Amino acid sequence: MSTPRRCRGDRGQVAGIEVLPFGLLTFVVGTLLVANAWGVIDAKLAVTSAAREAVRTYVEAPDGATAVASADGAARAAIAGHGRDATATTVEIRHDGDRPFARCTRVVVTVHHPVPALRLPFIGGFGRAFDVVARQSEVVDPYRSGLPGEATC
Amino acid sequence: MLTAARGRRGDGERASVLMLMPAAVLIVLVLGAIAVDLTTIRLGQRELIAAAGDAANDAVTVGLDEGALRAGQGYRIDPARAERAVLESLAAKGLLDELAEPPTVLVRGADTVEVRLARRVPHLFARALPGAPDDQLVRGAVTAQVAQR
Repeated sequence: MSTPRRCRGDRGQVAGIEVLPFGLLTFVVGTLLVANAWGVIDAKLAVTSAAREAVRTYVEAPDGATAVASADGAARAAIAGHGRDATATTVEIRHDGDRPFARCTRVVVTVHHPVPALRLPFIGGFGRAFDVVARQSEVVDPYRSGLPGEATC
Repeated sequence: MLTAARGRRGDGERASVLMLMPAAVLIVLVLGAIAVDLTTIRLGQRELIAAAGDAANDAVTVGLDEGALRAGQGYRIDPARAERAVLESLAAKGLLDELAEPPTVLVRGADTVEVRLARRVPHLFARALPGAPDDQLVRGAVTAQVAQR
């Protein structure tokens, strides 16, 4: 008796069945939108930390050659610490006015990290949407020890 | 018969369940969008505080009044030099044009500089809602003090 009664009534299906594809579409598109926005914010957090670590390491290094290697390593370690692939990261170090590594030299460190167009859990990212960039700047301390020359700020 | 039909209509809940699912999905998406917007604001404030810290750190060393030091008056910060160092630091980061108001540089005592910054951080998703603010004002203040090591 119960089986024929279940098949006769279709009012519930008519009222709700058309929203299923709409709901599915909203869910997929909306989730991708929010997930991508979150991915960009997460990458921005990582590159900001990396640029800050790099510039601090740079201005406290004993000489120019060590400074470049140390700053690059610090930036990549910060990116890796945020759970991202540091091999895709680009670190640019520039001196204001093309001055050498010396007291009073302003250093600008720019860190680029690519954000995939689509990132799926357990599988990884696909495509390359754009680069997330962070820039930090500091002056080599004019009165620090360990550097030759005078402070000419 | 009429009473029986009305009773049967009230018994079924399958349509209600189907309609609740898209609503639940939309609620989850809206909550996700709110989380992203709040994190964007927090990120903007974090960047502002970092910029204020770097600028104060530069100002407290570059801002030294060398003339006073060589005259035997000890370590003293020249307010004009400190303010110039702050402006140069912010300009190097490209932040100077994004500030909501000019940076405040306060020299406290002989060896301390405080930098206060304010900036408007735009929302990502809230801009789509009518009546919601497009951005939020965030502030950051950092104090740096000279220490010999």
